[in-house]
Amino acid sequence: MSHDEEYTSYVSGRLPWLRRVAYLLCQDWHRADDLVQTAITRLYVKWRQARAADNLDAYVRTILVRVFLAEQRGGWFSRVRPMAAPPDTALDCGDRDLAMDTRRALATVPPRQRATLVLRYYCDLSVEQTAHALGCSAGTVKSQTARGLAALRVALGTPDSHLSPAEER
Amino acid sequence: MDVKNLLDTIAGEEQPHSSVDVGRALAAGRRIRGRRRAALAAGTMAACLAAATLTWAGLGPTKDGGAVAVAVQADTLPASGVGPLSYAYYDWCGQKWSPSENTGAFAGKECAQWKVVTREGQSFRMPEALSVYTEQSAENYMNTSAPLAITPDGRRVAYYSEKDEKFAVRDLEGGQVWLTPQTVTRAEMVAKGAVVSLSPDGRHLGLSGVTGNVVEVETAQTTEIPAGWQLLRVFRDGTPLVVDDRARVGLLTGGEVRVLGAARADRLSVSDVAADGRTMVYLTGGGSSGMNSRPDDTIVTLDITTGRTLSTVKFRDTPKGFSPWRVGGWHSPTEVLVTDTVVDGSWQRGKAPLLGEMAYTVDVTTGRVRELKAYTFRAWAGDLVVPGF
Repeated sequence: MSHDEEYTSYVSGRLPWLRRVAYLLCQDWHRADDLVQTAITRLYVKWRQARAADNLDAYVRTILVRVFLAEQRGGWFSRVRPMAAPPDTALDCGDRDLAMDTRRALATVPPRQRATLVLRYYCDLSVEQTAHALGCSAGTVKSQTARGLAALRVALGTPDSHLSPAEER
Repeated sequence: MDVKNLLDTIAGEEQPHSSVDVGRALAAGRRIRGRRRAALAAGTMAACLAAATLTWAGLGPTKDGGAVAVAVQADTLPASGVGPLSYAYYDWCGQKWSPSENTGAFAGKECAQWKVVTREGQSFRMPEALSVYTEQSAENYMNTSAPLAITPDGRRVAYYSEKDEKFAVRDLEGGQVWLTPQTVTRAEMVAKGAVVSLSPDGRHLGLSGVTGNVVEVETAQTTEIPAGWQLLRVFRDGTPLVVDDRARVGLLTGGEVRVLGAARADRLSVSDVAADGRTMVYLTGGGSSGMNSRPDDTIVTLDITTGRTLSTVKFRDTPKGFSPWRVGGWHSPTEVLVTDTVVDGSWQRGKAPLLGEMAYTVDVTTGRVRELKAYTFRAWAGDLVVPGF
């Protein structure tokens, strides 16, 4: 199998997962697709190194998160606030309401804190793994987590919400 | 429902049709590779011409504290006679670490211990201070290590002594070690986690997480943090600064919490109290709006005796990308220390990235920001502690 075939096979198989992570980061499917498109292009450029990495998923996830953060800093998203696409989900009413509320709440969390929450709680990364993905120290991850949870709690309008204090450590 | 479930709920939405095109990525990637090859060929000549300039720049002054700690087999910290510390860190032996795979492999390894670096540049291991939890499991994976704190003057260090099953404060020059009265087992540390806050003079140790109190270390006198409040910081006189679930910040004195009206808990960036015993600062101005966010850009000085705001000053002369997230002690009568994250954007295969923090001073009267010192170490994972934070 050639490198291009390997790449195509890997990326095709991981697209749903990459889109979910991207969607959690930005809460917009169109933008999530843009992020994934950019990330997998960069992955192709780095494919020789990537395929030799200990954890290829972690490698591409790091690219994706850094694309997201870089775009936040300098891209048009830092100047233009896109309207979220109407949800075209197949969830039941309860889940849809909860998802909508949570999505809105998550959107109010600053990007770097949001990325920290997604990496730690959705991707199940440790503090150190998150720090590596974000290019920061473990202490920063802990701080960003605490701040992100606090912001999420405020946005959900429930100071004593389901976000347990133990999660902030 | 916890955060993971909330995120799972969002991620569980049915995905709409994807516009991602793998073939387009492949074609774009090929074009980028082609351009890079061309640029590389052109750059070889340019690099030869620029060599003298690069050498000249390399001889110029370096940033204070720019030295990078690397994985070393340091000596054990002597019992006494140690000068002030510059920082502390652990680095998982400089090796790659995956909690679900090789955490146990670091059990008993000296190189995984906390390491302290003196201002003179000496590096010592601290075997008596518990560092990484090598029995980490899927349930406690976010609780990675036992805490450590250093006073702003670098002369005292607080840590958890596994041998004694107590927290300890050590005077590095004199060698005295004071233990807190409460016994805490390693298993409790691993299960519940702990955060230590050392007062600027090192005479009071605040504990939160596995327990919630402030101990005057030389007398073992203990002040319990009231239910509903959590410790943020311990001031020089031992007064705890606390925060409650409604985001209010207050001072615990005489068993009662006096709320400081202007400060809020989302401002975790609060300073120590100044030498005058009255003023404290916190950062503000940051926030998010929809998809956009901005870092704090304002420093507020508060009179803790009255709760009144004394001044509100915008930062100025800020370095590019300045995004402070923590405030420490006072560097001078008008300057507080803040830190920002060192971001190593490089990705060099097989080479560990730089981790750490950059320290700045902020003048509370003018808002002027001045770069002070970089605290960094090269590792795949780890943590770093700066004095006074």
